[in-house]
Amino acid sequence: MTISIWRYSHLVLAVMSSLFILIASVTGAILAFEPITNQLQPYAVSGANDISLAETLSVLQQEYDEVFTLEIDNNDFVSASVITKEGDNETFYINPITGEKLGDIIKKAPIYEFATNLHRSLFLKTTGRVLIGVVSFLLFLISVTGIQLILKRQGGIKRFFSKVVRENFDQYYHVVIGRYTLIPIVIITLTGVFLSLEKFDLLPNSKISHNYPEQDDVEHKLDIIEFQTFKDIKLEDVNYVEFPFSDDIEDYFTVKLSDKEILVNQYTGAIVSNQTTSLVALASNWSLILHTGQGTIIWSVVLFLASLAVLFFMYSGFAMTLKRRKETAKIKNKFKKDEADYIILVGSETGNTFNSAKLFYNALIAEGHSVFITALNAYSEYKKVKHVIVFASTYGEGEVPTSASNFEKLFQKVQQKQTIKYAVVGFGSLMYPDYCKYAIEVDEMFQKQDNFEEHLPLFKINNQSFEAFKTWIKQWNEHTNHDLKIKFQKPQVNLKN
Amino acid sequence: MKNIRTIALLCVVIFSLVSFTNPVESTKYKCMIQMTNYTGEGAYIVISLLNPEGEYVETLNVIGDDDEWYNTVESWWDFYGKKRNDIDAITGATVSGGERTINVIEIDNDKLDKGYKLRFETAVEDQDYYESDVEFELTSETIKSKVEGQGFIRYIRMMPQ
Repeated sequence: MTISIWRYSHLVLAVMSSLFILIASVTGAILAFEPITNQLQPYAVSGANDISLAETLSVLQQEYDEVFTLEIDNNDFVSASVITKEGDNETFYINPITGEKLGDIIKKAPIYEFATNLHRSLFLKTTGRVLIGVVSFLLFLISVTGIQLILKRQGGIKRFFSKVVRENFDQYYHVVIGRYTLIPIVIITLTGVFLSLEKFDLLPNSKISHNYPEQDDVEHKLDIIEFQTFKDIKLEDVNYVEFPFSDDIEDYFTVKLSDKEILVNQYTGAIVSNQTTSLVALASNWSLILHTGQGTIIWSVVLFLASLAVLFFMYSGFAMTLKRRKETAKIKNKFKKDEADYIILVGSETGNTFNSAKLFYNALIAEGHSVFITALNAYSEYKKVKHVIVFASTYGEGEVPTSASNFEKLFQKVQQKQTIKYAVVGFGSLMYPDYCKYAIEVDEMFQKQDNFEEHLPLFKINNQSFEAFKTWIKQWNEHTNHDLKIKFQKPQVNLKN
Repeated sequence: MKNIRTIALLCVVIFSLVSFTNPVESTKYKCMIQMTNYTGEGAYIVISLLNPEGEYVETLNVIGDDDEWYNTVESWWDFYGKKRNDIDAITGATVSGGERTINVIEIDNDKLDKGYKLRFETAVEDQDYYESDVEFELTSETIKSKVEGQGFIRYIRMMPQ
């Protein structure tokens, strides 16, 4: 019962947001290359992480007329905004050890510019941002329901990574790839939601504001290389440095480190104000890194694969849904339920059991019998019936399949007039501990009712095996004096064993 | 007679044209913009030079590099939007609340003390637009001062380079 709710929400959420998810995952896959190409640029200087901030700042002061800012990005590229000896205001990557220019700032390639815009706001500005934020949350819910479905299918957390029963290509890889990419997808969607909330100002204010105490005049100006504060800071901990605007003693160095922001007196090197970065600011910084993959090639690759996986899920998910709908809708009964001697009842989760039941149905029809086939959930009184044959699958941890969710209640309510012979065929997989559990339950239900008589004992079929199905048909023919021939189409089920 | 007059007039016109195209001395100024602690998107800030009649003469600096939003800086857009000169060289990255940015702007020396004005126009996505967040007359005094802002700008500071 619960399983269908999870599957239903998984599907409904996916349909609702499919177009946007399509756009977001295609652009996401493109954008994953940006941090990779950036990271491959030769602007990171080896050994730079260990030098002190004092060394870099002092070398910059010698190399340039004036320095405004120093910035170190997630790729460990150091850039500075300076006035060169020629008097031009420029910003470029520098070597933090020698201070010399390494190259111009990487300009975002037009393709990334375009993809970012589409990914972030669909070119709809604020409306688009809201949509994308909501869709990100929906994709998060889809992932959660997906995890829930895998848990059900596999039978618990411990079996999460155990072997997956292969019914067909779409189903198999939907589950297998899902197991490995759901965690990254949950991370991507949650950080995406977080970044949206931040954009819409829905998070507590995380801006740092400093106190500016009065400064006493100092006669002697220390060289920047002598600043103890800067000597103690390693370059790798620095995000951003802003130089004092003028010689005024109340103009400070502003230094942003990974966990705090300090103001430093430009004459003495003393810390004037020290504010720690708020948790919200740290979280949004981490969200940005996790969402964009800035600075790490490996995570960017994971993000790229996760985007592709989402595309594959969309394809395989819809393919499965269409197939399931087609299979369950295909039943065209020749006879009405009250005319039939044989009633075939099917309890199927993914539609595969319906296929087997249909083979049996066709064989009976071919022999000239009157047969009626329907889902267990449509069980009712049958006036002429002599034989009831149940094809029941079991889902995951002994769950009742979707098309039988209501059968037990119906079975207690409906009273058949005549004595009926019954046979139950259970479909399941030996990979699950509760092998064919539901079929066993159904068999017991029939045993307990007086006007049912066992025709054949419960028969279990592992992984939709045709050999086993043939054996059962043989038993049926012997017991019933039939000569049913099952027309096997090419195997519809790939057994991966 | 008439000819000589026209020639003389022409001479004057040509002379004056030539003299006006002579390179005018200009000075670079360091200009710091300190934003207030507002929350939300980065601001678009345009620094323009206005003549004594209050008309736009020149765009000195644009802070904000996504031209999708330029039209939100309304008055300036009326001036710039029609021609769209190349402003790549004077365009910088956006700044958000609480941040500051330092830029270098270049102003012709002959614009000082003549009633010309400097205007800082600001706009933030889905928030307000300030036509003159900061605006002051260019004098040899104001060019090295600190001016408080009315909107997203807390203050600006200028200093000759």
